[in-house]
Amino acid sequence: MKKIIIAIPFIVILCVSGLSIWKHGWKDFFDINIANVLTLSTAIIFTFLLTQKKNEDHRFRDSIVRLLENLQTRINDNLINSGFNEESMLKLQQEMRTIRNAIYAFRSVKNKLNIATEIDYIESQFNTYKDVIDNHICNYVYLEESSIDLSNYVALMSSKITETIVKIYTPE
Amino acid sequence: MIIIKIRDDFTKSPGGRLIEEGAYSGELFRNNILSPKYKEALEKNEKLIVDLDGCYGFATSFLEEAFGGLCRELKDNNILKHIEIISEDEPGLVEDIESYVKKALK
Repeated sequence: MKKIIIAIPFIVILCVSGLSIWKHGWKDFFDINIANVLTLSTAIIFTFLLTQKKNEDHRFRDSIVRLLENLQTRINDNLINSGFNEESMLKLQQEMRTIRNAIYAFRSVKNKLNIATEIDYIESQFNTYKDVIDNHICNYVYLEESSIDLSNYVALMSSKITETIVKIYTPE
Repeated sequence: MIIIKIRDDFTKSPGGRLIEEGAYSGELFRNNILSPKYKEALEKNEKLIVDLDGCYGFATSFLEEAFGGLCRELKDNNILKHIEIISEDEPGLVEDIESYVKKALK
């Protein structure tokens, strides 16, 4: 599909050139002054660079959105709010480390994408969740009693990620 | 150079803040490992390297009690001049520990 899209402009240019040569002959076809050549070249190069930049920006945004979607899945699936025991706590600690590293990775791009407020909010909700777990890491009864608060932090993080994805794709 | 590798020298699964709260607490780590090694490093005028990698994860309470607690124990919040923290697994922990140390004596 991508090859076809690239090939179409070349085919159109070849057809137009062929028609022009057929109608005016070789001599007239190549009879062009340097100013015209420069104008045409500048326009082509400028358009090409602009398109490239736009494509790169799209790819960058797409990759950030994919990472945000992965983060959202991890948060929804792995940040537990019940069933605390020694084994689940060990797994949760590993998950919290992975999620925290992911949130930290967004710090470097949050200003570029104008999502600093959203990332800071997600980080803050995550830190609150982590603080509750960390401060009562051996007190499973307390953690079970905090179940509603914990699930609330998870819900807030998840909905903010959705909001962030929408914002990334909203034209400025 | 004196090195503490928490995974090998203490545990892979660090616990909470205080000894009474459960196994492998920050208080136990400070009392048995961090504080003696820190004092040894000071005496020998060597750097103490604390390697956090290879564990399942650290509770904020464990790290605060270990490093913030060391500041409070020694009444000195310049301990990081003599300690280097290694944390490739979770780079944000280095920043966290710095903040616990800064706040420890406030």
